[in-house]
Amino acid sequence: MPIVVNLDVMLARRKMSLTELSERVGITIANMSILKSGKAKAVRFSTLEEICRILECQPGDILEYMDDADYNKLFNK
Amino acid sequence: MLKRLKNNTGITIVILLIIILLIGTATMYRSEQTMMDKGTVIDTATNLPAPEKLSHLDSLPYFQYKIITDSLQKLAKIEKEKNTIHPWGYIAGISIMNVTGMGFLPTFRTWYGWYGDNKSHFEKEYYFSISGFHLTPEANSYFKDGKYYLQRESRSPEEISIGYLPEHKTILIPISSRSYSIGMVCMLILLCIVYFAASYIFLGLSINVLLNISRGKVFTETNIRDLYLIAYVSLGGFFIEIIFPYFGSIFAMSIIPQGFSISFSYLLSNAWLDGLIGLVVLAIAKAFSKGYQLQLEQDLTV
Repeated sequence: MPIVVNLDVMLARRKMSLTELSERVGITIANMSILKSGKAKAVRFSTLEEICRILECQPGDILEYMDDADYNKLFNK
Repeated sequence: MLKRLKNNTGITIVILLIIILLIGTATMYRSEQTMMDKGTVIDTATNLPAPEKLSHLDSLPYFQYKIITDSLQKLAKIEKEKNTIHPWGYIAGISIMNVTGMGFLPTFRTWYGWYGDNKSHFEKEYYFSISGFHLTPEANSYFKDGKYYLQRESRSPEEISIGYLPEHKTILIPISSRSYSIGMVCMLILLCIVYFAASYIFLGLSINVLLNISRGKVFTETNIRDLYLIAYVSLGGFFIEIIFPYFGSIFAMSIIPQGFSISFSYLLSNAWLDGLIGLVVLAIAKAFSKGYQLQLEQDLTV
């Protein structure tokens, strides 16, 4: 799926761990890990809203659309 | 439209079954109409066609009349028993016949003698049977003095080499006792395999699915696979029950005389339940498959 999740980039910028984010958002580390690794099929608006509030960013900072060619090149598919 | 049907096996199967059902109903209706057109009157006491002319013995005293009629009735009963084939050991035969329409069948004829010897007579015969056959309405098959006859309307009776059980719509091809023994052993082995497989699929897998559901594992790959297996085996059974007698008739084409033909409505009336179960379980399996997809999506929603 050519939607890339840049959660790790934002976490690095805010110097925050995934565990801390998952605790503050109120979802399990397993689910946060699914989101970070790009395996998630869907994101609830409420989850996105919490992540954006805690990381002080826009949804576009976390989610990015890439065309198939770039996506395949990036992930060596 | 065709492309859509190709993509949807469920709809295709339903349409095929509806067509088969319609053909079966039409065949049944046509054969009933022919019987009614013939205007045969059945004597409810003997369950046989009533004679056209009744004999009267008005000139005799009642007790003499009674003795004669009782004797005639007894004689008719003995003649009937003598010329009636009774299926024997039908349980094993009919069980496999339900699946394949074919089986090995021992039969017997028994009657009490009346002409001097008052002994009981017993004759045992062996047959290879194929079910699902009916006689054309104008034809009649009967057994007399150890021979089989076929009478077609406006023709004299002709001797044929096969017997017929009209109540079971089954033709009986005489075989030797040795062939019967070999066939029966093979059939019993086949029967055991079929029953074992059927018990595992219909009972074992159904219980497995129910247990999984009770444990909270509803939309799982195992349940979907089990349900599809039950559905396809049921539908397979339905088509085998319909198709196998046709194979049997091809196999025995040279000895089956004209006048016998396969009754599609009879085959359908035997097999419809399997088809229905198959369709219902297929629908459930499709629903479970969709549920599994939704479950996966739900599990990956954060």
